[in-house]
Amino acid sequence: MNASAQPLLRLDDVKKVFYTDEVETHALSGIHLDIRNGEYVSIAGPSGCGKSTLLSILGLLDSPSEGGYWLNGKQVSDLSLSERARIRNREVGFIFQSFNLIGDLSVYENVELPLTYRGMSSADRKKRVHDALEKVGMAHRAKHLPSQLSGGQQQRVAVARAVAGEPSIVLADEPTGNLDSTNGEAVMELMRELHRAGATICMVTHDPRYARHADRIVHLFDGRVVEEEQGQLAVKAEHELKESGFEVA
Amino acid sequence: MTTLLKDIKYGLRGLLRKPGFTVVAVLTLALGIGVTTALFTVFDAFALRPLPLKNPEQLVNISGLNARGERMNLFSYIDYLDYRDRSDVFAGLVAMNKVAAPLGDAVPGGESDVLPGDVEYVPLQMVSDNYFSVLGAKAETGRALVAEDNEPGAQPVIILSHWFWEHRFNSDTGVAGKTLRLRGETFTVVGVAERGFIGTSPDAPAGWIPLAARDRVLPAGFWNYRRWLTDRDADSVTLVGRLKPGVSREQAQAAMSLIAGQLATEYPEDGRKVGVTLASGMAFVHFSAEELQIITPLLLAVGLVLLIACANVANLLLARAATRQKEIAVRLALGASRWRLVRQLLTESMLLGVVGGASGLLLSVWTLSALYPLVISSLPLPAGLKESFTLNLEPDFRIFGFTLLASLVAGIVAGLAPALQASKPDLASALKDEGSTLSPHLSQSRLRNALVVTQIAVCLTLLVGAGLLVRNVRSIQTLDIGFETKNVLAAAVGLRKPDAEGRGDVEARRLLAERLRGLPGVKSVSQAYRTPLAGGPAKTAATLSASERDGGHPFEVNYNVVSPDYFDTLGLRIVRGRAFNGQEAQTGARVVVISEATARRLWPGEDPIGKRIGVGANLVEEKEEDASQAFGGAGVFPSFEVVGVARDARSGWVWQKDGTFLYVPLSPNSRLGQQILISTERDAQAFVPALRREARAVGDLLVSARRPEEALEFQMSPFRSMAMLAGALGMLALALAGVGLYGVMSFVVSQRTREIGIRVALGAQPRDCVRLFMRQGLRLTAVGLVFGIAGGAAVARMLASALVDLSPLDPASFGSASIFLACVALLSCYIPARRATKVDPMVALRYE
Repeated sequence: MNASAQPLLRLDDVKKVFYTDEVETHALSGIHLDIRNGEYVSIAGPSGCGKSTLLSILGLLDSPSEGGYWLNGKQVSDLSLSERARIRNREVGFIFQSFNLIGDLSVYENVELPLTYRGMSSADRKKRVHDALEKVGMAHRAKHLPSQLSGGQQQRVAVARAVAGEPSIVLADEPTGNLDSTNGEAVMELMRELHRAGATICMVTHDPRYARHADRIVHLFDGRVVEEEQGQLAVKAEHELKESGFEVA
Repeated sequence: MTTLLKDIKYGLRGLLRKPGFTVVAVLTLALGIGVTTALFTVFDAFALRPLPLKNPEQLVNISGLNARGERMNLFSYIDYLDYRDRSDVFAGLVAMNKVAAPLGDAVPGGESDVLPGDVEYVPLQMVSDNYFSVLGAKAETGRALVAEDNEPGAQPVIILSHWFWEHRFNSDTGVAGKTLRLRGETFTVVGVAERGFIGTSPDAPAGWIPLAARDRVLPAGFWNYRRWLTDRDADSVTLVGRLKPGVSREQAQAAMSLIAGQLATEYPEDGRKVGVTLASGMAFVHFSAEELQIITPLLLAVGLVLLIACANVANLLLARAATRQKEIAVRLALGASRWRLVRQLLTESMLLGVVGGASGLLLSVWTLSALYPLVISSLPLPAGLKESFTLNLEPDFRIFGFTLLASLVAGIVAGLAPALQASKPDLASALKDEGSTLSPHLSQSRLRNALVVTQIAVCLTLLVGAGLLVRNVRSIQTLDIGFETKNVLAAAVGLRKPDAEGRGDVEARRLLAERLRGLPGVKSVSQAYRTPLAGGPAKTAATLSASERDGGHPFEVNYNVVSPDYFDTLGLRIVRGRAFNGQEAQTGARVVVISEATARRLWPGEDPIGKRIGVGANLVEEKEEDASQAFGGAGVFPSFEVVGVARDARSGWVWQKDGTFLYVPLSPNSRLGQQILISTERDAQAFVPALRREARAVGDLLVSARRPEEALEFQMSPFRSMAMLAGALGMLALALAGVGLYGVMSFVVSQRTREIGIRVALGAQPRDCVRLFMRQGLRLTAVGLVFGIAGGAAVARMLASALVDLSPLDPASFGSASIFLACVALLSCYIPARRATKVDPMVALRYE
């Protein structure tokens, strides 16, 4: 899947400083980042490098201390809480390391939740939830509670919830962090399928094996982007294209 | 709507998944709402529920207004006739009043606000002949009153109430024509009121008699006796009107005001009513602004109990929100707006409120149905008067509506602050695997602390109020009323068939007193016009001579006419001078003993012995019913010499010192010595058979015996009821506050288990852990106590008028309530704190 030329989101010199008592912690120090529509980007780096802070800002869960953030061409770094909630609901899909399914709600209701907040009609919600669960192979577990599912299954449901609303971008924060390798691989395969189907994905991971699944890997260190590289799949795809006699820019 | 239903569905499911939390929250709210609903039910029964009459909304109660704007509920009969005949806004205007008449023979003795306990009294209403037609009631059997029944000199008749007919006449359908003796007079039963008709007050009468029969059921000398038919100033009846269809209350008010103005111009006497005011007569009671002020402390107390319950539930919801922090963060991350989330959380708390309210309603219905008969039976009233009290406490739509409103308000009050606080979590950390580590704003919530402080403060406020009222009862019980009531018997004595002059009564009493003096075990016997603690004292006019203070203008004094032994019989000490002696009483010497307060008022700083005071001639001439005329200015005031000063007493009402009080000697031939007082060595009640035996030996006497101790009990009962109610509310508040504090501290301990583990691992002793939590609890308790003492002082100000010889800032009440509450609060902290010491550091350090 090739990314289009127009960036879906742009960070311009984003800084984030945390103040605790007398300590000032610079979590992000002048981040510049563009993610284009349909792109699959991994953000990698050691613990404490600012990956999750960056993802929180991208997901409008947090706001930058300085700098600009444009999503779909619109400045979103200083919106009101309710406006941010609205954009989160329509433009962003979240996948968390700890799944973050709501224990009191069934699988169906968990996936339906963001659509409910959007005020979508019951019939539309039903179709979207069904499609999303079909996509992740969990339709047969729709009436189950999260506690009745394995970790891998719970993360599949979380993926379904993230994509049910057809967001502009899916943000995944260490989606395999709480899974064994088999389940982790399965979830990564799911992500690839989503990407192939056109989804824009930004994934935070500290595991290089999974980072290489992306088109582009952004390396963070001490709150700065220190390196960007093409992912393994992108390299492989480029190689295959060259082998077939195509010119690759 | 769909979203709301979804919120309700999720809310219900969430509550069912946490049954422990739900049960505690629902029970807490049920207690708070139940108490509130119970009070509202009683209020509704009195003030809101329409009377069980035809078109009750057309009824109006009419009150007069004097020149000072004070309300005067009684009208003279002549004024009634004028209002009835001159107005054209009423379909009918009714005059009526209540009286309790002894069943059977008349009871000797004069008027008294406290009825003797050994006589059966029946409650009656004296009514104008249009009473039944205006109120729209029919006779179940026989007939209602007719105009002829109210003719002067008409044969006395009675319409029985349905309950009295059932109880006393076994629903005898042939009761019409039978007779009933009331106060020695024979009344003919002419009908029975239809079932359910109780008139316009909750104390339904046993029967209705015509106004014309008024003096037959009242003792001679009773208020406006014999004058009520002829004197325009003899206020004797209350007025209720039924508006004509299409006439509004405002129109009727204007018409009646016009008539009041005309009457004021035509009869411009002092104290004349200059206006009237019409209030809705749809319910039993129409509370005026002043009356509402009296019940304000009770409303406040009940509201505060509900507030404590809400604070408890708010704390529970805060604790629950803390455990749901991750869920809330996820919802926010998925795009729920804060308002949307607050709405959902409020839906949950309102569900708790509604379920709590429904349980509270049941609780209130059960409690009221259980307590109502107990309360009625504990009233110190004669049996007939208790039986007649019919208050409908069945829940109606107003009570359902009120409960629903209270439930929703309680749900919002309890849920709003937690919802607002819970809906602003630190999203980034909450969504990470840090769900078990609460953000500071939930784990060490200022809101939670504020709620605990509020609970303690409100609880102390209530406990101080309750403490003051309980101490008040104790204070009354131990009050020095100035004389002895123990082993004293008061007997009203009179001939069954008195002669017109009353000389036979006088002689019979003298003979009986003589015989009683000779009985073993009798310490002293005396006679008096009024018995101690018989209610409002007799009053007359008095004056000082023109050369002395008050300029010779008459002023009101309380008095009693007593035989010389009166002071000995009651142990009423003479503190200066002497009591009058037998010879002075025999010769009718114009001497008087005054109270200390009288001396202070009339001759401050001087020796009152030998001073002279003019006493209303009516008293000297024994025209008791004309006492008020002495104030007209034309009265004669024979001069009496002060020979002694008796210590101040409370001979009328226990809560009221006598003030200006004169003890006038009872001459042997006076008709005023109706009461014989006997002081005995042993229990006075055991002396009653001997009293009756001696009375029979003297002649065909009627005797009604009563112990002043009983009267004291009667007078104390409202204070005791107030104290019991306040005590119950205080204890409920204490229980709720204790449970609330316990819950909060338990939650805090559970949230700090990991921290405790670390502390223990680092060498902390159990006492260090206990101290850690006790310090937190103590700090909150101390702050709450400070605010509570301030609240208690405010409540004490409201209660000041109900306190008898007790300072509103009584240190014992404030101190004991504070200490008691502090102990409960510390215990509520200590139990969870002790639990903290049992923490296994290995387990705690793995605690998530």
